Amino acid sequence: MDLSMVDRSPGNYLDLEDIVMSDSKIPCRSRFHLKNIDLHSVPEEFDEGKKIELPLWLAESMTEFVRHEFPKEYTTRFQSILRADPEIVNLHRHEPKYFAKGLKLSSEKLDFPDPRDTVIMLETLLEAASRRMLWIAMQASASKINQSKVECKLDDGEKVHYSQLIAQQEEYKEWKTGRTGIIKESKDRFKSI
Amino acid sequence: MATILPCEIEFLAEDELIKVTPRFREARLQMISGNYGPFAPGVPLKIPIWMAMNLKSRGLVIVHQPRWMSAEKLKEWLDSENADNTNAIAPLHYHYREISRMILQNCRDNLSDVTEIEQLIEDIWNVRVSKLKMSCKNVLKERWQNEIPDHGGVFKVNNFTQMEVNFIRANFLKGLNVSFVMSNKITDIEQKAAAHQLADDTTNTSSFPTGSSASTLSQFTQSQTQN
Repeated sequence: MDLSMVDRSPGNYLDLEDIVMSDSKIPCRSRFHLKNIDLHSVPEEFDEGKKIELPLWLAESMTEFVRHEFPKEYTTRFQSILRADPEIVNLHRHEPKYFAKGLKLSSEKLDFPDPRDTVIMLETLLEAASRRMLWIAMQASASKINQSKVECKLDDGEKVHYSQLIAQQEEYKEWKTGRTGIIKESKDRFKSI
Repeated sequence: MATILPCEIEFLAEDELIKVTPRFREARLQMISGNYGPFAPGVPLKIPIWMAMNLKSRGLVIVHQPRWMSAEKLKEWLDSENADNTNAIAPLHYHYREISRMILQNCRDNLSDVTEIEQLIEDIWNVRVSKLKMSCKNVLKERWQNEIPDHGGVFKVNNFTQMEVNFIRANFLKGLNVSFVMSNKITDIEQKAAAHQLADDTTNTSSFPTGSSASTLSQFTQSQTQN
């Protein structure tokens, strides 16, 4: 997912990746005593300060009624693990669109207690993204490596980047050995049953 | 992010001129890229590599080994590259990788020290690309440790060929873009927080004038007293 599209409204309105990412939930706390809130197909009542999980697109619109909190993947504890050794963390397991969601959480429509926490979170994301990108480039250029073991740790944006780097390496190898002129079977061919 | 393919870079390199000795006779050929010939048996001349490879495949020319593509010159180049760990040396030819590949694949019988030249070219490529990768790593490291300028940063690549730059283009540009987007966001939030703080401070000040307006008032009062 292109990170420059994350916070660019209305450019990201029709972006499917952004729509899927905005559906992931973040914890919120109600500011007031809320009645007849229909979140789970049954009207519910929420006391002031009660924790509610809302999808990101809804949480942005309900800033008047709820205070937002960082999901556990973006709290100080997880961020300190990410800062220490970003290459070993399995981001896909925690959040498939980790960096895009992190950038979305820094939106001004969300109301977190302290803006300094958002800045610290973004600084950790910046360092982690850069270090992981260098690690991904190293893995892509390594000759004998299990690609699936690398891919399973990456978030969706990193997977696209990794597959592009692998394709680039293949193109270079084919050119070096003079096999670019050979006609090959298309990858889009559907096998007949 | 679209990048140029290695075979496309080779296509651009095929316009370079190379010395050949024809085995046929032909008048001057008028092409779009220039006039080549006349072709006389045993009389060397320079023609584009694309033409040379075509004529060589038909057995009509002998391709001369380029002067820069000798084992001695390549060894000297490799030693110079190994002597400097950080900066790359100016290449013997801008399209050394592409031209050497084409000539080694199609004109092996016209060359001397083929195996040695192949190995030297490969070693030179590995050394130069590793230097380029290290430079890119240092640039990305600096971007997450220090502040990024508003325009995103301007970078100059010295003494690297198009093929080498293309090798690291995708990853380097992605790193620059991601760090720029995130850094911009950090700057936005910090500026808004600072503006908010300033607005809070301004609303909390007392009714007496402070700062420059107070000093002006005191100076006026002093001048009145003197008069």
